[in-house]
Amino acid sequence: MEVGKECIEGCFRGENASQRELYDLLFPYLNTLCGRYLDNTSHRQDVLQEAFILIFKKINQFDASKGAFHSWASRIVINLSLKQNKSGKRFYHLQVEKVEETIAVDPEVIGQMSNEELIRFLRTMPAKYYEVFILFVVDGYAHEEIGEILGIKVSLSRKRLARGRAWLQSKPKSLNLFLGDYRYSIR
Amino acid sequence: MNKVEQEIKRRLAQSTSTEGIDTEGLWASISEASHSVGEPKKKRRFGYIWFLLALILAGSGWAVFANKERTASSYIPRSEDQIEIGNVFLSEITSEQESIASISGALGEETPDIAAIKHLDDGNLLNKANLDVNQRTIEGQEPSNEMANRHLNSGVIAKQNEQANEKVPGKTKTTSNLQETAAVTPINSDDVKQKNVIMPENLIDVYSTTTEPKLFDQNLRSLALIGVGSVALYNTNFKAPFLQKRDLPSSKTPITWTIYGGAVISNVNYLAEGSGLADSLNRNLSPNLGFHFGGLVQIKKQKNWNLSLGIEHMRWNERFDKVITSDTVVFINQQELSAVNFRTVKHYNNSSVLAFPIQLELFKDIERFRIGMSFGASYSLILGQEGRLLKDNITVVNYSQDEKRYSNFFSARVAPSIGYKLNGRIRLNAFCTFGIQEHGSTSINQLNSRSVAVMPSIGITFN
Repeated sequence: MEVGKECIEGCFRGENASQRELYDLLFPYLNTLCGRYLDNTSHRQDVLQEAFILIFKKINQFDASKGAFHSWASRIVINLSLKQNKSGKRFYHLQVEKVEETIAVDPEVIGQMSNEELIRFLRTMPAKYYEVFILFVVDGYAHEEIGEILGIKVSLSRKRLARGRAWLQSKPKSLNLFLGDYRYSIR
Repeated sequence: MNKVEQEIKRRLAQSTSTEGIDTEGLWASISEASHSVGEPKKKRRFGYIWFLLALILAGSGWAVFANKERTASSYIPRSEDQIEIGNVFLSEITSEQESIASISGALGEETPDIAAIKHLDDGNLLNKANLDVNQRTIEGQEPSNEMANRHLNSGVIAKQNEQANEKVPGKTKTTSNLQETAAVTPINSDDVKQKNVIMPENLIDVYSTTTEPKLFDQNLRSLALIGVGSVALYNTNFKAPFLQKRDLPSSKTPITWTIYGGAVISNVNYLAEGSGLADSLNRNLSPNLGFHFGGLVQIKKQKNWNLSLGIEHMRWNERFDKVITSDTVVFINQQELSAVNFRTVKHYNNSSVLAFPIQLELFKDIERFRIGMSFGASYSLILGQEGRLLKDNITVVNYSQDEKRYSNFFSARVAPSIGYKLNGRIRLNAFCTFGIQEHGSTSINQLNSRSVAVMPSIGITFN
């Protein structure tokens, strides 16, 4: 995913066309990112709106020498998603319904799961471990960066990753679906 | 990283999706907001300006009432004023009575006389006075409050000197025995030619005939009364020049003001019953705890009622819950299944309100307690508001001060109260204000609403 320099400069000048181009380029990736980090995905639209506004506002702070544009943008989305999770937990009571299905699964079955199912499966992990696991394994952040994002020490980040990995290895073969804020009645 | 993690990374790291979001709708919101990003936000000074104006108004009102002059029923002038009052008193005597010219002359020229009067330099009158009354002096005696008041009110002081101990020729010394009082003989300036004050004992005897001996024995009463008494004997037409009301200096009545604070619980009810939207809104909105604080100044007080004006700031909070259902499709174990998606929207709405109450309090004092009931009204300004609301049965919209839910409004208020008097200046109060107000239709959903605010408060009243 490469964002052109002209596009970035156009966005800096406030050009609507450049902003639309950047939006079309980044939206699918950032939308998926939101889905991975938000506990309550009903806030996804709000978080993405706030993220893009922030990206356009602070685009002058992007330093191309430090990394790719989409990495810089994804950091913004991750921070906003985690912040939303914290505020949500303080005021909102999430109603979560778990549906247990006794389906025998082999680890290789993970390869057959859809991305959405995979995320839901991973979300059954304790939230603290899940955050570190996804940041480290999927998005490739170092423990120092994870410590900055989550506001924890590097040693705690390592500990939580270890526990997340242990959870994954000891997962029983029955599959629990984590339904988040959605309650499904299956017809 | 083991195989499972590698697989997870491979699947998720590069995955993208546009599902679950209306991309065009989102872009419209972003575009609108981001084009106002460059514009400097107008600082919301409106609320602060009104608050400042209200404070200035309250301060001006306080200044006016604090400086309002009233006639004092009991006023104790200072020694400087006393001198003035004494001079007025003396001038009255001088102007009215020719037969007491010697006295008046003595008074005017500071020559001693019967009621020769000297002003002390300081205000500590009785400690300086040293008169030989029935062989007793009052030197060093602390004056009683009553004595001090009488001395001060008369404005006449006797100065201590050794001649005061001299007896005036022809006068007999008497005690408090009234029957033994010698006859009073006129005294002229020839008899007494000393410079300093002489207090003839017959005057005191005279005084003793006109006053209760008991009071006289306690301490020397007003020397001016002695003078008055003696003058009155010489001239029956003498009219004691009591201070006129117009001559009395003004005094300040204390301002009574109250500060208070507490919680607010406001419940909004949308009207138009039977309307699905109104019913839905009423179900989805629930009150939440807010706060308020303010102050009241009494502008009119009577024995059992008072009228107050005030200013108050309130923060109204409520919670908006809405569950929106929609059909969706889910993949479970690679099977496509139809399902119902329940989307729960929860939001905390709030409003910042500045109110100007006016209230009439009816009360009854029972010992230190005060039981009261206040009736009043207020005008409220909406300083800020933010939240979410249903626009129709399926659409949730944001509202703010730019796109208002509430406009400024009038309220009717009633507040039962109970107070406890700590001392003469401070009273603790507890009261609960019930305010009811109607809100007109809004641009959001064109529905009228009525709200009730319950505000339990505690406060302190200062006199």
